[in-house]
Amino acid sequence: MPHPFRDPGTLPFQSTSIRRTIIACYCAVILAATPLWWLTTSIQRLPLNLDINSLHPVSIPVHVVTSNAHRLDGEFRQAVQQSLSSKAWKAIDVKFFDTPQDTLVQTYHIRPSDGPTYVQGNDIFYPLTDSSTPILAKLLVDLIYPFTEEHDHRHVSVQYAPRYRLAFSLLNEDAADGDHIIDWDIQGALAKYFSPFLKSVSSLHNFTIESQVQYHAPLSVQARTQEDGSFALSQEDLAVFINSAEWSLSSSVSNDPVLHFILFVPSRDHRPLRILDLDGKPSSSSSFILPQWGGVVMFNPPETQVLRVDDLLSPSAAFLGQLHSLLGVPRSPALVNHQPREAGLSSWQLDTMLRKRSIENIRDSQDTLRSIVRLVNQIENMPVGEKVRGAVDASLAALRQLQSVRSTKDIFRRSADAVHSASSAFFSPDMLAMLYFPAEHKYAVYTPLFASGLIPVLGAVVREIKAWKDERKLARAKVA
Amino acid sequence: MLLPCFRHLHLLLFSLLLATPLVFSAHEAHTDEDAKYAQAQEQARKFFSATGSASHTNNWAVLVCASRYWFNYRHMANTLGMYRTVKRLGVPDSNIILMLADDMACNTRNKAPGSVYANSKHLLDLYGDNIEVDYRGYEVTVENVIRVLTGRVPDHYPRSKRLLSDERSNIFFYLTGHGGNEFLKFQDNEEISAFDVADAFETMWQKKRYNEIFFMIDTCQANTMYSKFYSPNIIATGSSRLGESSYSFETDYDLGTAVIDSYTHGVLQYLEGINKTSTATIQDLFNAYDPVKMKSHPGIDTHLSKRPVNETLLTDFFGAVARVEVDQSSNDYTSLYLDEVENAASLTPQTNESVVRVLSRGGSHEHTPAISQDASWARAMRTWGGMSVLLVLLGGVLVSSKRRATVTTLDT
Repeated sequence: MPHPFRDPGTLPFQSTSIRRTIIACYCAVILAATPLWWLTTSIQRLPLNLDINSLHPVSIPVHVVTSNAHRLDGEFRQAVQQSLSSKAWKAIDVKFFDTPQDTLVQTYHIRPSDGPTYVQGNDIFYPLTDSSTPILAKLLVDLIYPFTEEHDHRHVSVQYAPRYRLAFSLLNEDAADGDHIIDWDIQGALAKYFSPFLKSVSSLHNFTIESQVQYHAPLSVQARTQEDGSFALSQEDLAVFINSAEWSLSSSVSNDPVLHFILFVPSRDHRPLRILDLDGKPSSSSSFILPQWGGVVMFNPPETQVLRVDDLLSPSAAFLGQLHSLLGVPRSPALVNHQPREAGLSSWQLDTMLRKRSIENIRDSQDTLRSIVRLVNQIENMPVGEKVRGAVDASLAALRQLQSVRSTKDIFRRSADAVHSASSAFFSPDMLAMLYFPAEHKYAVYTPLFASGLIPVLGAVVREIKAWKDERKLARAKVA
Repeated sequence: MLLPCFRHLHLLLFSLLLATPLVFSAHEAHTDEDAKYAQAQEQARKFFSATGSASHTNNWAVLVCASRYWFNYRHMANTLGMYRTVKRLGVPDSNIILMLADDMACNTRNKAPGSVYANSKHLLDLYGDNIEVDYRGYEVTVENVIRVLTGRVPDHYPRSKRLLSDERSNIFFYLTGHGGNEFLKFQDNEEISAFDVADAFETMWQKKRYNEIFFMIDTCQANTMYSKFYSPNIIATGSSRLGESSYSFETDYDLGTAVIDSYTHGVLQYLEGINKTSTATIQDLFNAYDPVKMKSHPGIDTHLSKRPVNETLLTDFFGAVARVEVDQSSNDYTSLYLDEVENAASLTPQTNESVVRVLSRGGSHEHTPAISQDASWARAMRTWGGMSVLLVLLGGVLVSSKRRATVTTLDT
C-alpha cells in the first residue's frame, strides 16, 4: 500500500531546477524593470549651451558729427561721454566725428544756427554766437539719453511690452440725478488726438483700444467740502481714488498689459470737484497719473449730455500727456525754446525711446538668462526640456546678432526678440520644479513597496547559491 | 520551532530599517537648516547694506484655501474673510488670485444655502455679492499654486488665473488648511512642503516678480512653513509653533461645524479696524497678536525683510497703490511739446549711488549658489548615509537568513 503522503522531494515545484528557474525569473523581472523605473522617475535636464560669463554688457553705438564752425574741443567730448557713462548702465558708446561715417549708426549732427537753438530730426541747430560748451553738451546728452535716475525711480513708465491695451472709461459718479454724460465721441477724439502719436510709436508697441461708459461709479472716498462750496480730493484721497471693488474696469480678454484712462464725471452733488495740492490748496490741474497703471481726469461737465470731439480736447490732451509719461516719452530739453512741430513724436524722441527700450530689453534678457542658469543649478529637480533649451538658444542668437546690427530700429527689434525668447524660456510651463520630496518620504514610499518584496527574493538567492555550493562540495567529495 | 522567532527578528529588523533613515535624515536636516539660516542671514545683511528706498506701484494677493469637505468649512471662511478684507482695502479683483475648493456655499449640508459665514450669528455673508474664484475645486493643487507663483502657467490660461506681478509688486500670500511640520496638505490628496514654497519664492525673486512678499499662514505648526525661505524681502507670519495646533474660533451649531479659525479671526478682527488711508504698520498687527485668544503662539519672521516692520504699512500689502502724481503741466495739448525748465535742472549726483545699488543687487544674487551647493552637499550626505544604513541592515538580514538556512537544513 502506497504511503498516503507523497515524498516532498518528488513534488514538481520542489525540484531544484524549477526552484532556481523561478528565482531567476524574479531576478530577471527586477533587473528588466530597473531601467523603466529609472527612466520614469528621472527628470529630463538638458544641458544649456550658455555660459553666463559670455553675456557681454550692452553697447549701443551713437555717432556725433560736429561742424568745424563750433570749434568743439576735447572738453566738450569728455563732458558728453562722462555724463552718458553715469547713466543707462554705460551702455551708450558715443563717438565723435567731423564728417558722417556710417549711415546706419544713429548720428547726431551739430549744425550752426542763425537764430535760436532748435532740434530738427536728429540735428541740433546751435547758434555760433553762443560758445558755451557745457550747455551744448547737456543738450546733446538730453537728446541721446534724457532719462535720469530720478525718472527711473518714479516708476511711472510701464515695463516694455510689444502690445498694450488702452482702456478708456467714462465714469458717471451717479447718473440717477439726471445730470450726467450719456455718451462721448471717444472714437472721434482718439482718431483726431491720438492716432498721430500711436502711429509714430508703432515701431515700438501695438495698441488695442477699448472703451466703456458707466452710469453708476460711486466714490469710495469722501470728497471734502471747500469754503467756496466746491468739492475737493486731497492727495491721500487720490491714492485710493480708484474704487476697483465697485467699478468694473478690468476685462480679461487678453494677457496684454492694460493702461487705464478714466474720465470721471462727479455727480451733481459733488460739482465742481477739484484736486488739492500738497499744501491743501485747489490745484490748477484736474488730472493725475497712477504710476504704471493709467491716468484719471476729473471732468466737471458743461451743460451738455453728449461730449463731442471738441469737448474732449482737454481730457484727450491730458490722457495723451499721461500716455506719454506711461510709455516713457522723453520731454524736450529745456534749452530748446521752440522747434518745428511734427505730428506725433519727433524723430529724436522716437530714437531715444527705441534706445532706452533696447537697453532695458537687452539687460532684461541677460538677467533672465542668468537667472535661468542659476535656478537650474540651484534647484536640482527642475526639468529642462527641449522647448526651454530652444528658447534660450533663440534668445542667445538674438543677442549675438545685436553685435552685427547698427541701426537703432534693428537693435531694438533684436532686443525685443531676445527678451521675448528669454522670458518664454523662463515661463515655460514644462520648467516646473518637481515637488520637493524629503528623503524620509522617499524611504517611506520605497521601503514598504520594495523591501518586503526584495528581501525574500534576495534571501532565496543567497540560500540557493549556498545550496548549490554545498552540492558541488558534496559532489567533489564523492569524486575524491 | 525556531521559525516564529526568526519571523519576529525579521519584523524587528524591518522596522529598524524603516526607522533608522528617519532619525538619520532628521538629524541631517537640522544642520542643513542651520547652515541655510546662517547663509540667508548673511545674504540679508548684504542686502541691508545696499538698500535703496522701497517703492512699489501695485499690490497683489494670492489667497489659498487648501482644504475641501464640509467639516473644513472654517478654512473657506478664513480665505473668504481675507479676500473680503484685501478687496475692501483696495486690491482690485484682477490682482487677487483666489484659490478655493468652493464646496461650501452650495453644499447640501449648508443650512444657509448660497452663503458662507464666519460667525455663528450670521452677521456677514462672505460669499455674498461679488466674489471671483480663480482656481476652483480640483484646480486647487500644489502644482497650480507653484505655477501661479512662478508664472509658469500654460499659454491658454486667462488673465484672471495669472499672477502678472513685476519688480514693483507687493504680494500678500495667504495659506490656510491642515498642515504639519514643514508641509501643508492640499485637499487630502497631496502636500506642499516648505521647500516648495521657498523655491517658488526664489524663482520669483530671480525673475523680479515681486518687490516684497507678506506671507501669512494659518494651519497647525504653521511657523515651520516659512522656516525654509531664503529669498530677500519676505515678511512671514504664521499661526502656531512647531508641535502646536491651530484651533478654530467658534462653532455654529446650526451649521454643525466650526466657522473660522482663531488666528485668522484675530487678524481679520484687527484689519477690520483699518481703512484705505490707514497708517497702521505690520508691527501694529503683530502687536495685536494675542496667544490666549488665538489659542496658539503666532510666529513672526522678518529677518529676510530689508524694511523694518514698524515702518511697513499694512496698506503697502492690503491697499491699492502707494502714490499718485498730479499732472503738473496744464492741459493744453500744445504744452506737451514745449519744455519745462525745472525739469532740466538735474545733472545727476544720485546716479552713481544707484549704479552701486544695481551692482550690489547683482552681488547678492551671485551669492545664492553657495547655499545651493551647501544644500546639495548635505542632501548627498543624507542620501549616502541612508543608503549605507540600508546596506548594513540588508547585510544583517542576509546573515540572519543564512543562519535560518542552516537551521532549515538541520530540521530536514
